[in-house]
Amino acid sequence: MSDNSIFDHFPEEMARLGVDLVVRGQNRASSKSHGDTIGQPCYRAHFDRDSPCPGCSVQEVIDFRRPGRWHVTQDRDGRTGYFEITVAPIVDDEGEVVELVEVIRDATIELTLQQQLIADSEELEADVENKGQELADLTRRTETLRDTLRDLRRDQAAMVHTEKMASVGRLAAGLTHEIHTPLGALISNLDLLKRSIERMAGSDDAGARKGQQEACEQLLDLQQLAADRIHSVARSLRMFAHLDRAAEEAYELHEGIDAALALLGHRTRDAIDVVRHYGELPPVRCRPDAMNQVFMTLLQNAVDAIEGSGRIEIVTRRESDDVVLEFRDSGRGIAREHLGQLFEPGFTTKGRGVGTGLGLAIAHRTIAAHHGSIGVDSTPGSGTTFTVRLPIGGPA
Amino acid sequence: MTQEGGTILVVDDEQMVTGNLELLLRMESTHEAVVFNRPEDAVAHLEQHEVDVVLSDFMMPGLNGLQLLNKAKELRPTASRLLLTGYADKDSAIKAINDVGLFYYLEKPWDNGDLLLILRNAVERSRLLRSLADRTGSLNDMREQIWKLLI
Repeated sequence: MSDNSIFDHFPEEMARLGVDLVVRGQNRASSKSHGDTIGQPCYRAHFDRDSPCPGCSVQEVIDFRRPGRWHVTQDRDGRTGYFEITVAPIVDDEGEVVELVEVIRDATIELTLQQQLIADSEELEADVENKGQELADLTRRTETLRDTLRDLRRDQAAMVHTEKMASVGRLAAGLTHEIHTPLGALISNLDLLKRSIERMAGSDDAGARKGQQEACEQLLDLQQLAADRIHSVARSLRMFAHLDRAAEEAYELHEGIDAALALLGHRTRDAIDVVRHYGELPPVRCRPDAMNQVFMTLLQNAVDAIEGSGRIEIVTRRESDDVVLEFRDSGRGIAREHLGQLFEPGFTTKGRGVGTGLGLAIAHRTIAAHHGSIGVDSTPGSGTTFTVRLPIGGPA
Repeated sequence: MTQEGGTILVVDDEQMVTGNLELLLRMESTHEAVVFNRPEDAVAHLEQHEVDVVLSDFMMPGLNGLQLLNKAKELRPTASRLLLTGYADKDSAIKAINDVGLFYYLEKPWDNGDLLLILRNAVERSRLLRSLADRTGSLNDMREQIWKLLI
């Protein structure tokens, strides 16, 4: 074939075979790869085999007189080579196959790439499936988390509500005492006034009437005293609860501390010396009702910490753009191992039914929401100091 | 009941309360009121004088009602002890009744009619205790005299 063939310049290996598969001619590419193969069976000539290659379909080409294409593998240079074999029949005038033309093309790179592609795409598909599952998992977990968060928020709201109710209860106990004393005097005075007036009406004795009148005047003075006291308690309460003010404003913190102290008067009057070392404080931007609750919590804890008699000191001062408030008590102090848990919700040393364990947790949250800080320093047996630091400009 | 008024020691840190009780006793009873706003002054008075009734507030600076009534029990054991409190705390009420041996526990605000009745009973009880003590004393005296005669 090489002497007279137009196929010599064709880059693939080509051969002319007899129907017995013996090579009758070859092009230049074939000669270059395999040397002179004329007279050898094609499987020996091209693939160095003693028998036809597995997958060889040459018989079909001969039987059906039409071209066929298949692949043959052969290990070359330590790796598997893939070869595309194309065989076309050459038919004479009677329709007999007289010769075969074989083209061998090295398809190793193509097939390797193809296989790689298939493997890659399979891997990709698997990946996509995995990712899909992961995504579904993630979505499910996000939903669970969202549910948990919602439950937590609800629980937290419930806890805050519980503490609010508890502090309302404590407040009510304090108010009961603060109001009952003047109220007792007031009701009794009224009764005496009524009796006195009846007696005056039924008496002709000028001297006796004069005596009754004097008593009435004294009773009215006492009445004034009692009414003023009730008024001042109500004012403290209003100031404490901040009923008539905006949610957030520039607030005189001393006002709030004084209101809380007034409401705790029934508990400090007995044996606790309350000392105020107030510095010059500018109004502080905050939520006064929340801040008053913090003061109440700290002062109530201070009172609770004192057994018998003792002392509560409140020290306030300005430090550049902050105000610093110290609440010191001479109470029993806090054990070192408890200091770390002090601001955790639910932690209490007061025993079941006494404290909710939320007072300081809420105080901590309130101060943090105002971009301030709250710290504690305690010596068991000699007292505790809570230090609150707040930016004057507020949380904004 | 025909009974002479007794001496009532009234202790409350609130002048509005002692002022009221003083007027109440003067206008509506034959009792004599001795009032103090500082519990320490009340103790000083008890050291010097016999009284029939001690009527005390609970929450006071210096000495609370329970401590004061305990002191009164020690100094004047026959005097009836009453607590008049605005602090409606069950624990302190129970403690007061058990520890101090209260004759009566009253809460503010009170009813004047009830208070006067309780005070009258308290004075009567205190007098009965004292006369019992007197009679026991004279009985002992008589017993001693009899012994002397016999020996």
